[in-house]
Amino acid sequence: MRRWFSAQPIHRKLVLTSMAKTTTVLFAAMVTLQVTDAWRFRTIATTDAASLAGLAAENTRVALAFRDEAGASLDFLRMRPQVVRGCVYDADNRLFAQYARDLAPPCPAEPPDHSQAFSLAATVPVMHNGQQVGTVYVDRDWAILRERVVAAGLTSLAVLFAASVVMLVVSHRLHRMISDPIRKLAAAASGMGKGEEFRMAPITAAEDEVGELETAFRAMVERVRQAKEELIGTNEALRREIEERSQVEAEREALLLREQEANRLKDEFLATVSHELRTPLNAIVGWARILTTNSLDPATVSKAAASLHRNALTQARVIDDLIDISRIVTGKLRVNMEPVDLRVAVEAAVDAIRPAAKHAEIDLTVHLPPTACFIKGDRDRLQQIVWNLLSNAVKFAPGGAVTLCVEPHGELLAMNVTDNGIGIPPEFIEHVFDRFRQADATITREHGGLGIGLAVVKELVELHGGSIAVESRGRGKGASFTVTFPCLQDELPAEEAAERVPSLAGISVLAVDDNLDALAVLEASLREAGAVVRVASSGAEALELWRQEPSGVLLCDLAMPHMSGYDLLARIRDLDRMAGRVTPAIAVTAHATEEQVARSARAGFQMHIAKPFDADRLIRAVSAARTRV
Amino acid sequence: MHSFWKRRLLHAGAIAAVLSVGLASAQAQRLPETSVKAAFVTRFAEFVEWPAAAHVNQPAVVLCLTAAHPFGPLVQQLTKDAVVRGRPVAVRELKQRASPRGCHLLFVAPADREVLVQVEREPILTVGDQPDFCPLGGIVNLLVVEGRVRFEINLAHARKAGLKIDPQLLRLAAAVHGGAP
Repeated sequence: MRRWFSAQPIHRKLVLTSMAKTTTVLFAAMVTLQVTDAWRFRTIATTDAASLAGLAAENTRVALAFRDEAGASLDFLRMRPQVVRGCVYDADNRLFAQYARDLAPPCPAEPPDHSQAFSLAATVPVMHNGQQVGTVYVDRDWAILRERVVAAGLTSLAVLFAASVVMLVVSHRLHRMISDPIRKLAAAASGMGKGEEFRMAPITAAEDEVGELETAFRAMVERVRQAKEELIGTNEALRREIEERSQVEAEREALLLREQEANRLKDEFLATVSHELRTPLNAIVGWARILTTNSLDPATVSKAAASLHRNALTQARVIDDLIDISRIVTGKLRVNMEPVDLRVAVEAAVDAIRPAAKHAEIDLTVHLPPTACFIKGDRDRLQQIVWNLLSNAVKFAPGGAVTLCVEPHGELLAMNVTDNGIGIPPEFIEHVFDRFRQADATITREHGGLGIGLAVVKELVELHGGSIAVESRGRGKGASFTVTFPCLQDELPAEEAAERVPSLAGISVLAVDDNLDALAVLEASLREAGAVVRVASSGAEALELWRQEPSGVLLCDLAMPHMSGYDLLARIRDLDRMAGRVTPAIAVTAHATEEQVARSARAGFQMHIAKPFDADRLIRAVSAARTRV
Repeated sequence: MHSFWKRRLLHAGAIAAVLSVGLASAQAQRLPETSVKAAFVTRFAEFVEWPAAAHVNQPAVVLCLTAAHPFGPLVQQLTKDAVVRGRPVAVRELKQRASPRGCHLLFVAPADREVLVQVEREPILTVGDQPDFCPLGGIVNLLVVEGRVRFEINLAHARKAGLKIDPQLLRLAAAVHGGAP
């Protein structure tokens, strides 16, 4: 029952509750009324019976006194249909006279004791002259009371039923007004619980508790909606942040990969550098030993000299490349711009590569325009560009053909180097100009090289304001490199003569180097050019020679034991100051970095020549130094 | 009423009436009519109200019997220690031609009927035992109807005497004369 009740909807509960209350109250009131009415009726009936009995007693008093039964008339009781029986007894309690309604039972033989609770009868004594002369008993009908009670009870039930029906209808209507908004509220809440939108139509305009509930609920819904939107916003922000982070992470990973790749390349590069430096060294050391130990025929000596020269050049080139790449990496690659005829640079480079091409049995063809092709550039660097391209072609086209072609194209000058060698696989073509990269390890083994030549070329070309492109139809189909430079068309300085190696005749030079081999090479190169050369293998010796007689030009190594090139120059500058002159000084050193060049300039060296030096360049520098002073 | 009851009551009633006034049942059976009449005579005093003047100097209710009465000592025996309306009852037997002054109730034997003239307008209830007692000025006359002792009442004479008679007694009476006021 309790469970059933709690499962009912609120409006039914309210209806049932008020029904129960009202019915109980009505029922109690009706029962009370009934009982009271029955009791009052009984009292009245009893009183009536008593008064009727009194009347009967009065009427029969004289008859009893005179023992005249005929005179004891109870006929007046007939006027009262409620009276069932009237009985008169004499002083000896013998029946004296009686009246009985139709179908009523006869009087009892003796006056009954009627002190029962539910009795509508009365017994009164008949008094006469101070004495009891008899007893009268009057019995009233119960039926009337019964009918009355039954009728009243039925009426009550009917009223109760009618009232209940009316109340049911009315309270149903009234309670609907209370419970409907609550039900709608519950429906809205459960709808939102099932994921409908957080929005609510107005439910009730009432200002009672239900109205307050709705207002509170609406506020809550609004709050939840806002919280949800905030949540969505936060989620979006989080998602974006995660995306950004994963992007950063991916970038970092890519960076890491690149770094690892770079490290791997550097390791490979170091191995390559070591290999590239050792390979020519092997030939140099071998031929040098043969030359010093054996007496050889002139043909072998000539072959040895050529091999030594070639390998030394190769090694010098490797070292130059290394320094260049170091400059490129640190961003300190500098070019000394001047108008240069590209043909001259090309010829110099071709001359330099010819021995190697011949060695590799390569058919090298060069097409140059008949007129000068001036561009703004660094002669040495331009030469380096051409040499690098050619040596690359020679390296990768053994036994094949290499064609170099220079052609003006309007304001541009195009130089094309084509070979029919192993070509470049398409997947590698975009890495051709990357530093430290070669197509693969096997190629590295087969073809040697640092894998930086093309990177240096690209860097240099760009420094000259030009561009470089590569083409290859694939593996085994050769490769073609095209370099374009902007032309210089009007400025035509006739420096033709300067290109020739000047004579150093009449110039006295003091060459200082602690390395006797290097000193010997210096001395030989200068003497060949006609200079008067004195040599010293230490700073002290050089200073002594200088004191005896100063030379026109000082050629000096920088890194020397006991007295460095800088210290020596400082002493000589002291002597110069006393003698009132300035002697040009040229640093000849393997310390060839930009910084060291700058330092030597600060220390007072007019020029700087990197070891190993090109003899022509050295001579030109000495000549220039002498004339400049 | 059933005849059985009637008969039984008739018989028992006579005896009871005598018994109720203390009469010995043996005497009652021996002289039924005279005994019953004596009982009646004593009973009438219980239903009559005398004017206050009748009791001046006389607290008792005085029953007088004329000289020729037939009751012997019956009335004295019946009224011994009796109380009517709170008053003791006294019985007086009058001599021949004696004045009935001071009496409240007077039984007039047929031989003494001239006394009626003397008690006219006196507050005395006169009881007789002769057929023309009421026309002669008597108030209550005893009759025997179908073997039962009954009585008739002359209300006019009672009023003239200043007596109030219990209406219930009138209902029991066989006849009431002069009822209309």
